[in-house]
Amino acid sequence: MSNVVLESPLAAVIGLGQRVLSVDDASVTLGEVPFVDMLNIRGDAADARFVNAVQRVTGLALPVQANTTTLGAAGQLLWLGPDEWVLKLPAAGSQYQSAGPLEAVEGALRTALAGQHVSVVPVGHGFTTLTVQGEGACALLARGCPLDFHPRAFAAGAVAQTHVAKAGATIVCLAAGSHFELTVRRSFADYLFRWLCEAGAA
Amino acid sequence: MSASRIPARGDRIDRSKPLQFQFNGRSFQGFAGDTLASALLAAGESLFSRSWKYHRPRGLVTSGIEEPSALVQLESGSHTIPNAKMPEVELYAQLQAESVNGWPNLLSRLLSPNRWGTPLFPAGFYYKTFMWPAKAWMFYERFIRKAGGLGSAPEVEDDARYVHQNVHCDVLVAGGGVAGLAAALSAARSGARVILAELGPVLGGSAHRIKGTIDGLSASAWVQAAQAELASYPEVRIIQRGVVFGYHDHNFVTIRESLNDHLPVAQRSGFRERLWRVRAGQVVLATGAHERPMVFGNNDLPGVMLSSAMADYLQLYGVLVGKNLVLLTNNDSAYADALALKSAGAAVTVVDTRPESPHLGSLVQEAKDAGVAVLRGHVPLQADGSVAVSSVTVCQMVGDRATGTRRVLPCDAVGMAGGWNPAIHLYSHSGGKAVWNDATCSFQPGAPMANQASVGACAAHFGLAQTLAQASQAGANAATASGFAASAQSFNVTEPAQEPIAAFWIAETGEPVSRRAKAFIDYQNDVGASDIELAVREGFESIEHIKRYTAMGFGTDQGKLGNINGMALAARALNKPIDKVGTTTFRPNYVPISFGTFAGLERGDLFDPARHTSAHRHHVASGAPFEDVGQWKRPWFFPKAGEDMHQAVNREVLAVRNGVGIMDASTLGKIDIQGPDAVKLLNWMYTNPWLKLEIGKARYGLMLDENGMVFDDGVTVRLAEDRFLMTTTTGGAARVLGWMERWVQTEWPDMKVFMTTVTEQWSTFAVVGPKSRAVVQKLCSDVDLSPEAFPFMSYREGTVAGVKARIMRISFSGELSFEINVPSHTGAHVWRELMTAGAEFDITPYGTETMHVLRAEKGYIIVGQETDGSITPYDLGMGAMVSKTKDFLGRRSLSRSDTVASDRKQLVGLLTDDAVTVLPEGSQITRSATLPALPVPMVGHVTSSYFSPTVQRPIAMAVVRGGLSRMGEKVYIPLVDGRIVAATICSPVFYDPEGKRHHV
Repeated sequence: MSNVVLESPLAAVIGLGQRVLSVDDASVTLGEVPFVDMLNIRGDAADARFVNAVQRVTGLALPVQANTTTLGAAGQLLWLGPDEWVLKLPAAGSQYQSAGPLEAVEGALRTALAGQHVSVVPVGHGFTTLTVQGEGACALLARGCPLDFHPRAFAAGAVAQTHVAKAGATIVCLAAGSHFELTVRRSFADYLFRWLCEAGAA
Repeated sequence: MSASRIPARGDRIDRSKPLQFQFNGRSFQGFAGDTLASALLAAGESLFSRSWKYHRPRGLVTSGIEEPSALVQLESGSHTIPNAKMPEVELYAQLQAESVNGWPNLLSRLLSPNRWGTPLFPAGFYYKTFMWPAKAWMFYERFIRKAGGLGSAPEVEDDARYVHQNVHCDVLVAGGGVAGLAAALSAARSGARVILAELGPVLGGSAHRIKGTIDGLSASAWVQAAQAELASYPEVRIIQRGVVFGYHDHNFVTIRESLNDHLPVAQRSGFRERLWRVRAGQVVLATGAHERPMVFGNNDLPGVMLSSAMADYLQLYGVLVGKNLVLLTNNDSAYADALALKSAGAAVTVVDTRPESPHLGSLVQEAKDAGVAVLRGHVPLQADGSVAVSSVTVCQMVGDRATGTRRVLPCDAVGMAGGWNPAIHLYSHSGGKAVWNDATCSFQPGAPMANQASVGACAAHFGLAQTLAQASQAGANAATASGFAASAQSFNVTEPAQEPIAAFWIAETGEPVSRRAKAFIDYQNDVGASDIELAVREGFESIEHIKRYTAMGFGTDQGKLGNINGMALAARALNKPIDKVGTTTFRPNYVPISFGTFAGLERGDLFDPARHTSAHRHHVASGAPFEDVGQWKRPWFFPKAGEDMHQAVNREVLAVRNGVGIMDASTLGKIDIQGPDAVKLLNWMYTNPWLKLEIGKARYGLMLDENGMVFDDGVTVRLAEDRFLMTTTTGGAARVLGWMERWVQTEWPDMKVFMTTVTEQWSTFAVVGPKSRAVVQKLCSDVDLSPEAFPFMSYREGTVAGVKARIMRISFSGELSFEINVPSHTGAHVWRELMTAGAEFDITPYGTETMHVLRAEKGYIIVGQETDGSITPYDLGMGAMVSKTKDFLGRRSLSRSDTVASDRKQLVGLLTDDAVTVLPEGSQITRSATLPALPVPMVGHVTSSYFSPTVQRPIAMAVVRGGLSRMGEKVYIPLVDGRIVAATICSPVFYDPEGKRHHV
């Protein structure tokens, strides 16, 4: 039983495709990055041992400023709270692995953090990632979210835990004003995807 | 009235684009750019409705949103809009409209008997007349409503789409007239984010009526230039057809943008309206002012309208409302209107309440020079005419009394220029208190609220130079306050010298108002000057009471037109200055807003999220109906062909008891708890002891609130010394996490513990029944599933169907059970593999209904069904779960006199004596075999009730006062059909009370 294929919560609605939407004649492309491994990390940002260990293992600096991220080839490290982060690893494909990159990072983190009061919890199966990209990206998100996505207020690298319509979402800005990633709970993904399609239907 | 279209005027219309439309079943033609009002005026129509109480004929009064009379039912079916104001309706091809109060025929004067019976319908008439008998109101109301006859609510679903859009800006300017544009310009030049919202289809406001120049340009030309400059700034958004209708706390402002109501019905697509939800750093209010009518007899006759409206119809739409016009005024603005109307070919007489003076405003002289007849020191008494005005009687003032010579001025239309009411509505929404200004005879904004300014006419600044300077400064200040370098602009302005306004509220003839011809204040609600006086005579002194008694301001124009006149007349009747009577508080919404606007996208299947588990598509494919559990969609039961719910549930229950079933339990809440103090936290949360739970073992716990009442339950597993996996009820997942976080964050910040929700990380499938081990064994080779190696209430990690899984031997059915948790992206795969592996054992998927029956047969509670927030563990007969030796949340409440009382409602089982009747859940329980006198003493109620396929009879759980000590006693359950069913109190455990079946 080695050939286990993962299934996205959007398998039925999106397939492997994307949706091209429009807001006030500005185009937006809605897509999915499925199967992103994620680790929820809790710890003490004031403790250099913790901060250094996370950076050593993940290759990403721990963002300690509120609503900031470290984005890199090794993944994304998102600030969620004063003592809470989430690590998103690069998408590893749709093949299930019982000992893949996630397990490697989790194990290394546990080893590096041994003896500290921390929490490391795999959570990637509980979410999927939507991408909202294009000239109308801000305006599309603004139809369901009260945050200010203007480049002056939400620059590349910014993160916010918020909601879009009635779905909670963690939004990361990859390119100011035009490219965002939404990490959404898998059970809300179908609703949010359909909601965004309706919001961006001309 | 003999209105007609004249050439060479009409800034907004395009005469090359004629449009056909229908009004009251007749065909008309207008032009692109017309409003429904202007097009009908141009066609010579003057009678648009009948008033709701007296059925008096009514025409058009205004050119804007304050219109009280010219209301239509626009379109029909799903597109219909009741009470659309004609001046607001932009004309489009094939528009269809009906008068809302024309029933049955506008022209049938015979149907206006009330007109002659005015004294019979005073203020408060309906309160006084239809009070008794109370029950008859419903009967009266049908006819009163019909006679009142505003528009009809849509009878079919609105299929238009609506959308919300949040937006942030540094400066929001409400109003796109000269003042708003000046403010927006100085803010926008700094680079600040500026939103300018204008309720109309074009910018400019009253610019076309302004006599004067700005930097050498006419006001209208300056508006064009200002708009073009604003549009060139990338951070400026101009919202046209966007009415700012609500101004809430912290500069949260709502704008309704109409996107396609101005298009022919067949051409409408996309969203009908957009609700802008604006968070503004600074707000500049530039909402202008509404012209005030004058109060005199029969001032509601068709043909009597606002003076400014006459000028608007002429200059914007090329419609001259009459050939022989009388303008009644107490200020200079009528003279500007008179000049325009005169130059268009009308004979114009201005009747000015102000006496002749050597210091006339320059417009007065200009009007005289242009041939406008001017009658100074005269006040209006009464208009006359049959279905339209044909003359107006004015009276010469003698001192401050209207006792001089009366003159009858023949005319075909009368303009009213009673001064200007600043549109302070938004200022009032924001919490501001208006103040009275004697010099301008108007209420105006008092102290500005935080981060706000009022400019132009809405601040009672009626001069052009003053408006521009102040607005430009306000815009610059707003941008500066938002962190931008901004400065005001100086303008080179020429404008006529103004002569001050003189207060005029009603002619002081010495006759009682009630003896004169009816003089209207609120046209739509037929409130006259005499009604205000009557209200005061009957003892109402507060303006809020007078309003409610007379219904003044309760129409669809919300008092925009008449309320200030009403307040002034109330002040007159009370013999107080107007500022001592005060204005009323304006509340959102500034104009009527449709429900669809507020609903936005959140309707139909997007109204609320439907949460799906990882195996959802398998459940859909098996034809299961779904039960809503919170936002989750859970399979309810899995019917085979031809089965009803009862048959399906019976089959599913028996399959679990005798073979193997499988249930998707993924929605149960799961919380990963880590840290050295994790066990200490659990010990606080649950009523039972946790310190000694071994690694790899599971324990059931009850959680209480501060009052000692059960609020959640579930099984928690010790994964490691300092790591636990807690499960909660489906509906309680977020509440339990919040509850624990609250205690840790606020009361025990030193506790070293972290909690992370993993509800969605893991999909949970319960494989249940005597054959469950055999099924799981087929897919799991690395866990010894034998009862010795893997006993009840323990936990193992292993591989199931190729996926790393967490397996728990816990049971909510009383049967041997393996709850298999797998990472959710593999959930669909694992469900399918379990079904395949179980096929040889006839594995039976079951839903929430069977789960409920199975657990009820075992007497297991469901929090929220057996409990309702008033049930303690002792009430549930679960006192053994309550530790005597440790503290926990809710413990102290368990010793309150009420919680230890012996007659509390306690959980018991009920067996109906007839062994046939399945009691309805929620049924009340009595001790009497016959129904005693009302009120019947109730001793409890049924919490759960099913037919049990396992014991082949109905079973029920109930809470009964003192029930735990009443085993074997009879109780009675009266049903709605009149039967009284006898039942016997018993243990709630109906099956396998020794618990042998899950210990295998």
